[in-house]
Amino acid sequence: MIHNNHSRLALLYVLLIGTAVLQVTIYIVLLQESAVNPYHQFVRILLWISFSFAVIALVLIIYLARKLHDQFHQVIEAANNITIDRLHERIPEHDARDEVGRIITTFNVMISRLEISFQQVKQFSADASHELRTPLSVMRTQLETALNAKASVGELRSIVANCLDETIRMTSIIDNLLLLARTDAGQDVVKREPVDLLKLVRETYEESVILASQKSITVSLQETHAATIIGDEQRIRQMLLNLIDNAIKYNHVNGNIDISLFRENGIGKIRIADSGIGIAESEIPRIFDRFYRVDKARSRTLGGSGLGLSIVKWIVQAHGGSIKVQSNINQGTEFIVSFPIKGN
Amino acid sequence: MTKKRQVDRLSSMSIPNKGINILVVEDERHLAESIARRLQEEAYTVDISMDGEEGLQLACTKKYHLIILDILLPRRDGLGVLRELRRNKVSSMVLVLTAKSTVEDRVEGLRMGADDYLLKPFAFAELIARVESLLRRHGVEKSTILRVADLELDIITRNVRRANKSIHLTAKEYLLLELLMRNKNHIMTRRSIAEQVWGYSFETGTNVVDVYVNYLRKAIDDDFPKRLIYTVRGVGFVLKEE
Repeated sequence: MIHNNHSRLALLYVLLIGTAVLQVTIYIVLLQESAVNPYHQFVRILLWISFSFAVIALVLIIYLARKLHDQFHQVIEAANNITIDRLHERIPEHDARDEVGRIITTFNVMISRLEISFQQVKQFSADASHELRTPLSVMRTQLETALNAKASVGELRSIVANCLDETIRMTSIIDNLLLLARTDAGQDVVKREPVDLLKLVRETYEESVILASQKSITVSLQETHAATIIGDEQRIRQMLLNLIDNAIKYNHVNGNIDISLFRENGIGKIRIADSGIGIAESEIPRIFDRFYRVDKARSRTLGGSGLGLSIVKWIVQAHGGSIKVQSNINQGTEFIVSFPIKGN
Repeated sequence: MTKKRQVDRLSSMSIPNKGINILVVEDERHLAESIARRLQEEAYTVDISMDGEEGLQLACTKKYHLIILDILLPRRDGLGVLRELRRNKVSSMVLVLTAKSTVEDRVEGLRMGADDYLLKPFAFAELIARVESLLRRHGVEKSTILRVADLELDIITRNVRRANKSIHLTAKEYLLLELLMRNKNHIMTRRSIAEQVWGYSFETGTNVVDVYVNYLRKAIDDDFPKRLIYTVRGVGFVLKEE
């Protein structure tokens, strides 16, 4: 059974041309043969039959062509009506088996994708504005307080220092947003130089010991293999510090953090595991989303822009690596970052 | 309307004049004035212009060693000023300030004859370092030594000496000292230090900075009668000569 209108049309064209050729042939034969030909009557009937076929084919061709035209017209009308404000609408689907049906389905899938990415852009702008609003409101309140005519020099200094820190935070949020926007646009922004992972992991470990001491968290450096990759040292450091910041932030007082660097089949793996609050399984697919926070109220007091893990994921991918998360509520979270090693 | 605004010399401090002229073309008044003030603290002579047309005229009539040029300016934009300067064979070095971070914008500025660019917002230490480096490259500024009291730091050889005694510092300690010395008499917050020395703003806290400041104190203050690094409670750290 043919469901394709184009094939049906083609078949009808063949039929039409075939019958026309047949008729012309018969006519020529009739002109040449004498009137006493015993087949004369039969040929005449044949002529009529083929002529009827031709008429039927013609009618069907016109009908099908009009039908196709109407359907395309409806698709165009419907597509024209779906503007940026009406992305939730879809082109009405009918018999999905013919090609018009398939075009409609394809269009609708495309509109769904557009709707999702448009939604994400809207959400992103809203989140970004909100993130910048928070430091701004801190600054505004502090500065208004500072303008108290009786404020002491000490108070003023401390307020000015806090405001300076807020501007540094805002700058860092904007830098991160621009970085992600630039990578979305496909601009390559990582350096390609040999990076000694072992040296980097050791340095970060030393810093994390100091950072973690604030919450009496013990950091231990376990396995350490030598590994060199091609990439951007500053970015890899940023990635490690982001993961360690999280491991401290979402850890308990007196908790543990284990860091290790090991090689496995030509892949360098950095493991950062904490004994913290963990992440619910349902939340894990979303933790790398921009501005996504598992616990919004809690994260706010802990600081951070909600971009940390998005940046981590981007840095890992920009180096041709991958990142895996495993977590159990109230037992802890483990991140494993894998990079292809140079010379393997 | 005065054609040129000579910034008042800072009266509170007696600072030697290096005889190096810098023009700041920046339409944001507060930014222009802060830049001028900090450059004066570094003993440069500074003029300010708040629009492109006026800045261009100034730059063509008076000899400046360096021009700090904003891109978005009223009357004539920074790139236009730059083009005219180079067309008129004005040889002053140009440091472009820009709020745009895309690579194309920077390339455009450098192609038009800028000597360096700096992205807004910037830390003053960074601006001063760029200015010094440009002036040094063109032989205008000769000294490579930062000096506070009897403490000396050579930014090229990375040698640190106090009272003529050589002091060994780790890479991080050196960066921290250079930052504090470039900001002498200015209190640095922990976050600001973290950002400029580590290139990373620690979200979980800045006690790393405290630890390294203590390492640095051991190295440069402990064996000497007069200390230079002070903690300002609730604010940060400052390197100064009491």
